[in-house]
Amino acid sequence: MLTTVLLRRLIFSIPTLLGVATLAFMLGHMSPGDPAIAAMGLDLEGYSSVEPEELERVREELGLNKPILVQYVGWLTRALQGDFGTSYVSTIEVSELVFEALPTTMLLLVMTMSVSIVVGISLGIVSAVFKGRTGDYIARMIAIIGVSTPTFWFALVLMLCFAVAIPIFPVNGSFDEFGWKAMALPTMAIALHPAALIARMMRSSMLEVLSHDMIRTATAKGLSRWRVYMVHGLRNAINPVITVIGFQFANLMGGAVAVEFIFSLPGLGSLLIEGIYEKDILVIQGAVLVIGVAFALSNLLVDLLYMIIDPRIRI
Amino acid sequence: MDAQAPVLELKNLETHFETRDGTVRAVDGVSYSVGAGETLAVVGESGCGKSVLSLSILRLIPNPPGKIVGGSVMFGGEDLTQVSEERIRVIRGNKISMIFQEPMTSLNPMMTIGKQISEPLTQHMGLSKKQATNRAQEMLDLVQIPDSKKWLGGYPHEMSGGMRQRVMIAIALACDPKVLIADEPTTALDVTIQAQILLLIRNLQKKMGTAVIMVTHDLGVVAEVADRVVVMYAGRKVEEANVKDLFANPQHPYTIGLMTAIPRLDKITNGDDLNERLTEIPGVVLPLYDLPVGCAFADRCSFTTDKCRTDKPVFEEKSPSHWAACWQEMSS
Repeated sequence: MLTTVLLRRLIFSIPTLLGVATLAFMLGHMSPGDPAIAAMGLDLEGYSSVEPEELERVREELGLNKPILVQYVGWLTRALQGDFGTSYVSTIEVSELVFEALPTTMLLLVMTMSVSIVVGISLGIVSAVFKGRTGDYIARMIAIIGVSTPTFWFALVLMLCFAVAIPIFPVNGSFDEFGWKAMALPTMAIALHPAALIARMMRSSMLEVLSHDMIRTATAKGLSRWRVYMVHGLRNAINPVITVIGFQFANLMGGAVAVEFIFSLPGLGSLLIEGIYEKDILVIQGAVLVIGVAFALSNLLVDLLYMIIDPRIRI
Repeated sequence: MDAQAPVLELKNLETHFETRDGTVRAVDGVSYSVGAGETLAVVGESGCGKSVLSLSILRLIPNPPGKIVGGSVMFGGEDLTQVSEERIRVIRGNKISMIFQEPMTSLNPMMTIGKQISEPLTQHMGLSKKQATNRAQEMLDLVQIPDSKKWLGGYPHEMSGGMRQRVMIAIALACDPKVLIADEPTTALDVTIQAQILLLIRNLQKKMGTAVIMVTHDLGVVAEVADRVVVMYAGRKVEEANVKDLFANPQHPYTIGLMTAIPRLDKITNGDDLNERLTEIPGVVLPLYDLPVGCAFADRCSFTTDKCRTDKPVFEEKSPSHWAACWQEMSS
């Protein structure tokens, strides 16, 4: 039964993915500047010195003078086959650039996700179980600070504290150079916000569940507090938290773009920002498309998780 | 009624809630006892403290704001209000079990029926998973759920209210408890299902010799199942008697009020009394944080004298084995 549902969801996600692709394409084309100039390795000042015929020739070469719809269909057909074109600037295949950058970003996101889930859920549970006591106040304080701190700012503060003032971690550098140490500060920087959101959701959801009759039933069975909270409470309280976690993916990606750039991690975020600086449309489009697809898939995963956890949703 | 020693004995139990308006004396010095195989009914209006009283026995009152401030609950030579948290856990669901009012929300929606019944079995009786599952199936058969094997893997949302209450009973009786506290077990159910559930409890009680404390506001249920009745008002016990005595010869104006408030089919079909209205007890239960010095029922009672307003009535034996707390003598 689960496979049928999975198939149906996969089919339903096709329009979403198509939308994502369209948006990625449009974003590339709507960004200001002429990609042909970028491809010629010129900046805006060099623009005036270019012969119009020369510019026209480059445009023709890159297919930029075709109607936008034709360009779109061509790009989409090739993208479906994993061919995002060749970077105008570095003349490397975009797919190669993307797949080189992907592992760093994936690693960063998996680490951030794990840290924020573990920290968020634990803080939320502590907060709910010790409601109105010291543990609750401390956990809530951390959560409030967490949701109100901008990611890029926190990244800079972490860098100042733990890379500059107390040099435990590198200021910047890739996983290949420094190993896990390179990932620690970026992970912390991105994880703070989602961890705080998860903690707040976990607290309110858990508090609601703990006031339910079934918790009294579980207590009246003579179960230990731990079992009442973890087996009966947590499992019933986790669904709204999973929704929040699922939506955090978008935030994480946003945070990752800035933080990767700040810490010079060679991930998708850095690739995207460099692409934007250099008006490298195909790189922008490729990176946005991969990020968008990952987001759509993560939503699908959340839906499936719901069904696995809550027997009432298996329709 | 019972010559044997009581299984469970409450002495002057007091449970208070601290609120912004003051201390709510939800249970204000209530005593009763129940013997093996006996059914004691605890009756009263909503808000009279009967549910708090039964939750207090197993210390299931949320603390804060609630707290047992006095009295004792004697069970097997121990005072349950004083034992450690570990010790009360051994008694909960094992020696003393509870069934709650709302079968729709009292079960965990995420856990299979089989697992929910096996939980106390693995917890208290040290059964293996397989043994517990077998016993869970036996329990489902015992509470007359057809196709018990299939239901072991089923979830509460697939069941009707009556079936869920049967599952609650199966959970409660799984460890063969000495005392079963049923807190309004039939209130949320259809009348036909009510009768089935009451019959089921009674049959299982006979089979297992369990003492049953039936908490209800429904005098019909009382007449059906109880051996002895405790009537509560504003956190206190106002009358206690054998069920027959109580219905034949109620000694407290509040009990009388409760009885005359029941619609009676025989009166209506009589023809002459077609226009007779149901009698109500005027007024409402007083807020429990602001009780008068005298009798708490004085404002709603038609027999009130000055003495009722100044002196708390003594809980005394009005006739053999029939106690009431009222200054007036009621004639039958």
